[in-house]
Amino acid sequence: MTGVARRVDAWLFADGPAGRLAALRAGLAVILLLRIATWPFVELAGAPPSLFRPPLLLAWAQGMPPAPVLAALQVAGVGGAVVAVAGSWRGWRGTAAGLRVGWFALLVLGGFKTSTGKILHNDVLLLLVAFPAVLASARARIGDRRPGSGFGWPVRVGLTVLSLVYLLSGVQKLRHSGLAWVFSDNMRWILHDAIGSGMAPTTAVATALMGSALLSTLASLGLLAFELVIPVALVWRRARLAMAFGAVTLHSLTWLTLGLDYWAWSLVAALVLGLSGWPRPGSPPARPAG
Amino acid sequence: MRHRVRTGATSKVPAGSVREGTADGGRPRRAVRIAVYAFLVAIVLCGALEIEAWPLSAFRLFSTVRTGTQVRWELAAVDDAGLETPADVAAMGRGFRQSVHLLPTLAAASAAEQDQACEDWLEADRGARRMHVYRSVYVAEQPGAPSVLQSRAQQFVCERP
Repeated sequence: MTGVARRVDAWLFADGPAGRLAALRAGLAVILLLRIATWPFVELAGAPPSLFRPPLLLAWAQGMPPAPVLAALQVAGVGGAVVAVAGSWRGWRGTAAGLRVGWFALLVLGGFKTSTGKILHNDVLLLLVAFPAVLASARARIGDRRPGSGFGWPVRVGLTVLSLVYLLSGVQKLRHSGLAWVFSDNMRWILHDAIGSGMAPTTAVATALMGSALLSTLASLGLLAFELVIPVALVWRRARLAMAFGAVTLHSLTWLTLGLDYWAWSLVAALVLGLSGWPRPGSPPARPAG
Repeated sequence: MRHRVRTGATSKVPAGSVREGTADGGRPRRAVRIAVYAFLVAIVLCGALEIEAWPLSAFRLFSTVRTGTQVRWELAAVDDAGLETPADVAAMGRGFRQSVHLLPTLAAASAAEQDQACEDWLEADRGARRMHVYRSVYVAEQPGAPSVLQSRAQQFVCERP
């Protein structure tokens, strides 16, 4: 292992407090629960085979499952998530298993949801960031301050995944559009199309941004800068709360202007960045990385 | 005495506090660590090679520059009186809502696949006699101005037997 690889490995698998892993599990389980319980997955049951385009993961499926199967997955997912939330408070042995059930249910249900014609990214960040926590088997309880590598790595890997996802989103914009993504009328046309679609709860914000070349350019610049800069949070602990605020602002504006349902992204970003960036009682006032 | 947790870039575990590869907070097993690295590499590879493999993704979110020219694929329903209106896929059910995104693929598919899709749309929209699939180009002079239809090419048509 080279020096850099050794340092990366040491950072990823460094110690962390048990309570933080428990809080991560509880937070992810709450978001999983909300995503599974609040979308009418059973209504997908009517999708005909001719319009069914499953992702690789569900290539074995001949068509959309019947409503009872989708409902059973939903119930199991909600049950698993509830166990994971309660278990994180009580330190139950079945907490990790509950989270796995909830995660797997959303993986399959979300996969079927994205089999109807369009790749839907709404649940992708949650599923990817939760994967390390799903792999982790360490028992932990909220408030538990025992340190250990087994408690620390799911949070750090989750933070790394979060940064990678936003970074890739930014890099793809540069790769396919270059600086024209910012310094052209791109954002104004995005807003133009959004106003036409009528999906947003209001057209006031989109209209105001679209009407000003300066504001729309600044919005594009801010969005792209956020996506490209977020990996700084990996090495600069103090930046994490600001990045969490940035993510919530970004997705709130996306909803207000485009009407796109990315609240799960907001919650996941706030959870992971907040948990790893929030100063703990008794911790030193400032550390360069953590 | 309150235990202070170190947060720096260290993997040293206090002696005797935890054990390797167990569920009590020890360093994760080698298999888990390999899985973590494989997972991180898969995320990067899907982005670099633009692979969509749910839940992994290339994350091409709004990555193409928008202009005043917009290509839209449209599904139109024609009733018994010959009146043509945009097909209301939302009213057909959740399983149909995103089906407009399949139109480019279906336009290039076999006649049998097109007929089967059409049959399913007509089954879900009992008021329609025929379905028309168009590739349309709309142009707006400036953001906020109305989008005007510039061209429309019919891709395929199907009729209720």
